[in-house]
Amino acid sequence: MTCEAVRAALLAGSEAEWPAGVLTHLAACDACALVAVEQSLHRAPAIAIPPTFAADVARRARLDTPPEVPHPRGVMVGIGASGVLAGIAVAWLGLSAPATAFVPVAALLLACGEAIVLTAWTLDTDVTRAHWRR
Amino acid sequence: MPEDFADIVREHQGMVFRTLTRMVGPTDAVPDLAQEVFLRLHRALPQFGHRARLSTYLYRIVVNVAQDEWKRRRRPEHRAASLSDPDAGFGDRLADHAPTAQAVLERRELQAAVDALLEELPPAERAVLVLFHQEERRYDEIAAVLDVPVNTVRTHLHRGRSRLARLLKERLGRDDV
Repeated sequence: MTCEAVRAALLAGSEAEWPAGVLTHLAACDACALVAVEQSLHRAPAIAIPPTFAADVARRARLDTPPEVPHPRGVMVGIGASGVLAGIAVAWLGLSAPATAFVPVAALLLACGEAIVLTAWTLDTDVTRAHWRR
Repeated sequence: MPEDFADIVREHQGMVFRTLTRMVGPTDAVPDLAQEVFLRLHRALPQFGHRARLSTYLYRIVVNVAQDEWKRRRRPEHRAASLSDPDAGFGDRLADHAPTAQAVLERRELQAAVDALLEELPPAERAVLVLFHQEERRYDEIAAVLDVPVNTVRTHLHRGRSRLARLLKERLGRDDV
């Protein structure tokens, strides 16, 4: 049996009959085995969805209490400290002479940076992140 | 949440059942696993924020739930018979609905054999093959779902297909059709 004949059989409709010798050929031909694999994977498996599945899941979801999103104590303290530091820096900036204003400005920038980093870290709780990468 | 959650479930349940069935095999556990997928989605929706398409997000959850199921099955008390286990009869090594070795002569049996052999692949290759061939996702979408680089997706796809074809050849050769 030729590769062309085997591939024609593999690509034919799911109800079409196969000529004899297709599987014998597949057992010996790498390229046709690859085509058989791709064709088989392309076909969706039969599934049976319970008729009330969506309603049942929606009801269950309403009853499901979402787990508390943890707010790490360190992050909360860090954000608080950033706010206090920023407040002091702003007040200091108001009282400083222009020549020495770089110190409160630097403190302000530092506080803003810290707040941004901590906020980004806190909010980036992507619970669905694929966790299997090794 | 603008849409009723039941509508979201209805819209995506076919994909979830299809993908789970391919990834974990046609077991009775699929409806429970599908429910777990949607409950995880429901819990995650407040943080979703449309950073990704909902379907991509859902595929991620499906892959993670399938991964948890594979881990559960790897535990000794749940260990499924391996296709490569020489002590197990072929009927034991296939999923419940799979045909016997003698019957592996028809198109449907070839399909069942490929599905059963799919479970022999490493999880990453299995997921990439299902998402690419069955779900017809693009490389970049699969990369986003699995959180891996696109080149890794290509590598898994190439290796997975080759490995599956080799396993199929070995199986068909062993059955001496």
